[in-house]
Amino acid sequence: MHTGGGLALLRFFTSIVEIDVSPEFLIICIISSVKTVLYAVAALSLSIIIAFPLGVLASGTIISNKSINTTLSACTRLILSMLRSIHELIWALLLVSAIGLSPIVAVLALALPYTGILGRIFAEQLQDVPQQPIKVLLHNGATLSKALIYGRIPFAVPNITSYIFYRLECGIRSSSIMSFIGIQGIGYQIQLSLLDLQFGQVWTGLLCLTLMIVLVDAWSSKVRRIMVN
Amino acid sequence: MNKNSIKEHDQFFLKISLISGLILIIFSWIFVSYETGYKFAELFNISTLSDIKNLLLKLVGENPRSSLSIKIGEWYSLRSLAYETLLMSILSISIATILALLTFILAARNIHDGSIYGYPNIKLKCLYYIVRMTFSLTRAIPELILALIIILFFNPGIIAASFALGIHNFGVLGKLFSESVENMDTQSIKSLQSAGSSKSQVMFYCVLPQLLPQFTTYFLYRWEVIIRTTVVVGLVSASGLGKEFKLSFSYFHYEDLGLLLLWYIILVVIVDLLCSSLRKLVRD
Repeated sequence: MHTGGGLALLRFFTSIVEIDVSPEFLIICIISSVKTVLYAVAALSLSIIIAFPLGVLASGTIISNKSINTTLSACTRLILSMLRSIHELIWALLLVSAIGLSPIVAVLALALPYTGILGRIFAEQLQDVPQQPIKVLLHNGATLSKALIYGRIPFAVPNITSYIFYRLECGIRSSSIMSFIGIQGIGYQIQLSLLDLQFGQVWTGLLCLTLMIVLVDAWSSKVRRIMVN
Repeated sequence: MNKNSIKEHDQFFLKISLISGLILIIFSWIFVSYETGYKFAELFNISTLSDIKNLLLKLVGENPRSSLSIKIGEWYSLRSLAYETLLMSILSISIATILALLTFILAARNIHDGSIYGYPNIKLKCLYYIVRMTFSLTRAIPELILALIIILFFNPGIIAASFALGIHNFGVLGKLFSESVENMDTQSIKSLQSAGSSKSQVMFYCVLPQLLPQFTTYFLYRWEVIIRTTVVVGLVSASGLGKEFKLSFSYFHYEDLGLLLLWYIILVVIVDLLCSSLRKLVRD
């Protein structure tokens, strides 16, 4: 801790009593929270669309030729783990320096690592279905793709959907840190107030973020409970 | 309410959630296209592709044959930074785990409402709400914003970054730990209690042995997440690979950036392999 750090810490925590609840600032906070949620949802929907075919390929349940199947699924797994291992902010910085600053860059940067995560989960869930019905389908002359559509996907959908709802919460957190490349949102407001040393406003922003996460968490955990039962 | 009407209610809730999710998706894309100024088509043309190609070329060095061989020595000299980053992740996961282990038992619902100890306890109930609120608050704030706040109080460096990461992951781990206490099998606790064992004996001979394998899994899972995030927190708190990352970004030294990314991926792969082998060890 540096000189004056203790004093600053004390000021930060005591300023919770002067939390900024003026209507103007609350409206700003609510609008930017909605923006954060919308970015997260857009990125998540994009990553679902990309991750689904990749997940099917990685699960190795669609191609009958064995050697092609193993190489293809290994390659897809490698791509997915590459996407997953780089943090979304680093993707954002790289994409900004390649394409330039635009809101679509933030969506892409969020979508890339989430594709990696969702693709792995899709593959695992498609493999973990009960084997008996699949065997029956294959025995009665269904092709692998038919067994996938009528056997594996219906079994996997509840788990996959509940996982997507869980990911929404993480997505909101990640999209709030896109403020580092200058994307509007609740993180941007917190950063601005912090630079102004307006600790009261910082607390408002932090509580807004917390409230949003708690609400989404309650919603997603209820959906998950119903889905899995 | 009987069972059937609960089920109908649940189905209705599920339908509403899915429909509102779809509406949110559509609305979000309308919003994003509004923010970009309806210029999707302009982004995806040939110049974008060549831009991406240029960036990749810059990352491996403008003239790959000469620069890569020179850079190998330089790359190896960055190992101290990579080591510092690894140290940072270990420090932060240990801060998170210690804090979470000290508090998780208070945040479990079945501790205070009497389903384990037989009688509800008001004091524990108050503590339950306080601890739960702390978990939610720390879990909701991303590591980077915590780092921005903490950097006001601490000197920039490993300690500040580890505190930021540790506090965030304390919330996550605490929630996971307390949920596993809530889902625990209470039969064996009851039988120990009826045999006359004290609270601490129940804790050490029944609760902890049941929960430790699950806790280890959560710990390893969070470590994997933390090693990915340490670099990004380093951008803010000036420590480890993140500091060099930010500097070379600001100087447009893209070759150094490529080397740093290589170290980053190596670290992530090492930790992933370590975690998956440890997880197998726990499972068997």
